[in-house]
Amino acid sequence: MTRPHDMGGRFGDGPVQPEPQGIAQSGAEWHPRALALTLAAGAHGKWNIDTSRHAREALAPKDYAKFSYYEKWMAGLGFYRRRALFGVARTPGGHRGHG
Amino acid sequence: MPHDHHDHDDHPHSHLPSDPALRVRALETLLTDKGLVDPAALDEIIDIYQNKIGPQNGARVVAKAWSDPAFKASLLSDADKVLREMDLYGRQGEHMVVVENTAQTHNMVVCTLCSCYPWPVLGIPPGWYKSDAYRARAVREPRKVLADFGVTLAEDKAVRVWDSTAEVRYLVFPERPEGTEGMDEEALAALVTRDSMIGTGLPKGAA
Repeated sequence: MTRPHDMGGRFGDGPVQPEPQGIAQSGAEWHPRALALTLAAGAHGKWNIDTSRHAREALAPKDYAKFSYYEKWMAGLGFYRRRALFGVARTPGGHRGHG
Repeated sequence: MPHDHHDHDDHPHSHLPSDPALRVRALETLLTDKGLVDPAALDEIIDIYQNKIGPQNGARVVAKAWSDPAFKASLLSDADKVLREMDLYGRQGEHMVVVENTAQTHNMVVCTLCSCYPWPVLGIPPGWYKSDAYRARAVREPRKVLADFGVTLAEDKAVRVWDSTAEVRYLVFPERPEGTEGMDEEALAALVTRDSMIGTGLPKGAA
């Protein structure tokens, strides 16, 4: 089934907005914190690139479309927190985890 | 924690503030309290990606390859080995492929599913790389996307778009601009922009 993250080739999007060269600048003050928190959470080996991708891709389609980039990251990390605390794999959309 | 019962309903965000900045702070507190995150590590990570790891790393690689044919051959055939030797290897860049622009072919990199990007050589991706518009359009109408960046290629030049995965990350090796024959590596590196290594730009001085 096509999920909202699988957007390659999709129609209807507007122009791409270029940015200055060099190290990419943060869009908001909390973005670097969100990034760092997501990376630091990997220290225990239970949260990695695959679990984080799964958590974000399992967001409800309306949330995936609505959330900004790092909001998706934070929603994914919320999934990790709940799983880490309860040992239950519930996806952000509220469903049992599956691909 | 008093709000834990919410974790078992179908509205998992209801217990966290809706404002993203506050939500980050709340998550940081929760994860730190549970020993899942080391707060000292956060500042270090932020410093690394705001000040130390960025496209200047990739520019160094490109400039060296422009200057040294043997190095270039190694880079194109086994990028992981070369980048490891240059200490430009690590998280989000474990399996690197370098794709060479030529007079016949222009390469461009996207991650349609997410935002996969070669962090050790380019740092954190710019906002546009992560945008829906870029992810959706790069594979369907790359020349129009290039036009958004002010880049127009010859019509007979092929455009090849590489869709990154969680495992494989791409770096575009741009064409060396004409008239740069006498330049040393440092001067050459200054011509290599971030976007020229993603394929949405050309090096400074390139026609």
